[in-house]
Amino acid sequence: MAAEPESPLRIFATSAAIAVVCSVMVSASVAYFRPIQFASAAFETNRDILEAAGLIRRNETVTLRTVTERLEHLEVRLADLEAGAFVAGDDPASYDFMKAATEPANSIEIPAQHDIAKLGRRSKLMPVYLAMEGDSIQTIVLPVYGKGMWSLIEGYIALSGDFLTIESLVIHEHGETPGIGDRIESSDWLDTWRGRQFAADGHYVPLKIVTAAKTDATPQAIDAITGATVSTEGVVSLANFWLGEAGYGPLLRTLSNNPGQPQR
Amino acid sequence: MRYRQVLTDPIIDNNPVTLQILGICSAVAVTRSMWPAFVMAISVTAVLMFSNTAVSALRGIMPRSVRLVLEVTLIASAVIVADEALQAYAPETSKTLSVFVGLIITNCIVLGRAESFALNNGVRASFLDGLGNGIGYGLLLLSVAAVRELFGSGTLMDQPVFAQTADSAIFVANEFMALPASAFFIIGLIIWALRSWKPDQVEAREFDAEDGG
Repeated sequence: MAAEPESPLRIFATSAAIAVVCSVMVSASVAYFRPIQFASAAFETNRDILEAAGLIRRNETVTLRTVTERLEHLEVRLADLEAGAFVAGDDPASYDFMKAATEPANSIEIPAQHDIAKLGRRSKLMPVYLAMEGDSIQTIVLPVYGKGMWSLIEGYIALSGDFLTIESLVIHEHGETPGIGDRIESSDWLDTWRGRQFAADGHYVPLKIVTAAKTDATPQAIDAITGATVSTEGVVSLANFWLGEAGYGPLLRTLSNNPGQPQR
Repeated sequence: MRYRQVLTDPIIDNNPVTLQILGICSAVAVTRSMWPAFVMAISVTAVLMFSNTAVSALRGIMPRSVRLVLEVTLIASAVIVADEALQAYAPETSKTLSVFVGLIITNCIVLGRAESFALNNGVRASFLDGLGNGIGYGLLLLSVAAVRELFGSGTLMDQPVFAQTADSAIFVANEFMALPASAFFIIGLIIWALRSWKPDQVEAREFDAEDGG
């Protein structure tokens, strides 16, 4: 490279040209990838819902087609949580309850004594997913979320047709500490949720953290993860919030009182 | 012959991580398991190939006084494209890698190769240099990740190697391997092993210790 004097004009022109080319490259790639990113996000969400419903095994590799096909087995409904009833709504599957929770018209403030998941507000309406067997609900999948140690933990809880036994818990997203808090995603721990109940003698009893749930006969016992106390508490609290009176409680009561076809 | 050397040299003889000690931060951060490390290696290689090629092609017209700014602009654009592509096609892995994809911009290997090689060499050689350094970086990343995943989680590429059940307690996950600091030890051991095998990689002492001091 010759050490010729560089005029300010040339420096400016070259820099501007390179900057324009680079920005076109970046904008074009963002425009091209954005729809694919949305599709991927929807795929992950649907996958997790199906896993909660027991229609996909935990480590099963699935294609978009399988996910779309198996989603046919689930019925999506919008539920008014306070009223404990299903409401009509177009396209309930794409109802953005996270966004609704930030809009005053579509959300309610959670009373402080009930706000164990530290959410502040929640959407009035929530989408729920039903696996039907004839006229009765076999499994109901409920979207849940709440604060962990660092992050918002999002997941899905599936209940069996008695509306008080947990079939599975799936963690959809979280940002807990790698190697420690992220064990809330480990199969061993998630498996301990299966069969746990949050009711006794027809009354709501919150889940509680114990040190050895495998040998604990209490149906509400959930294992503490060693070293990840705050993340464990986060998941258990969010489950207790959403399964309780301020969450899906009224809806679950309505459903267990009317075991037949859920009303529109 | 020369081109082949440009490509193969950085793999072992002039490895960017073990010899030049560049790119250590990402090698520590993303090597908990092999799959994210593999994706990271591919991304860095793609960015390296692009930045080396672009810098080499533009080396005649880039004004010297602002060349660093322009190089970083080119690298940053390539990194954004790589990040967007990952979010589209591998969203789970993209979440695992989190900020470290964006931080490829500050990966010393990329700017290091642009400054020390692409600025003084032809397009074809620069492209191969980028590819070679990417492979060298990836090889090191995967070696570290293999050790950490095997002993930290008992799996390789997410396939179980050691059974980890309550009944057969043959394997107990090494919690330390799950933590980033363990990568320092593994990289250190790899450098030690490499330099014992190829003594010419040992750097000359810059200062001699005083005798009997």
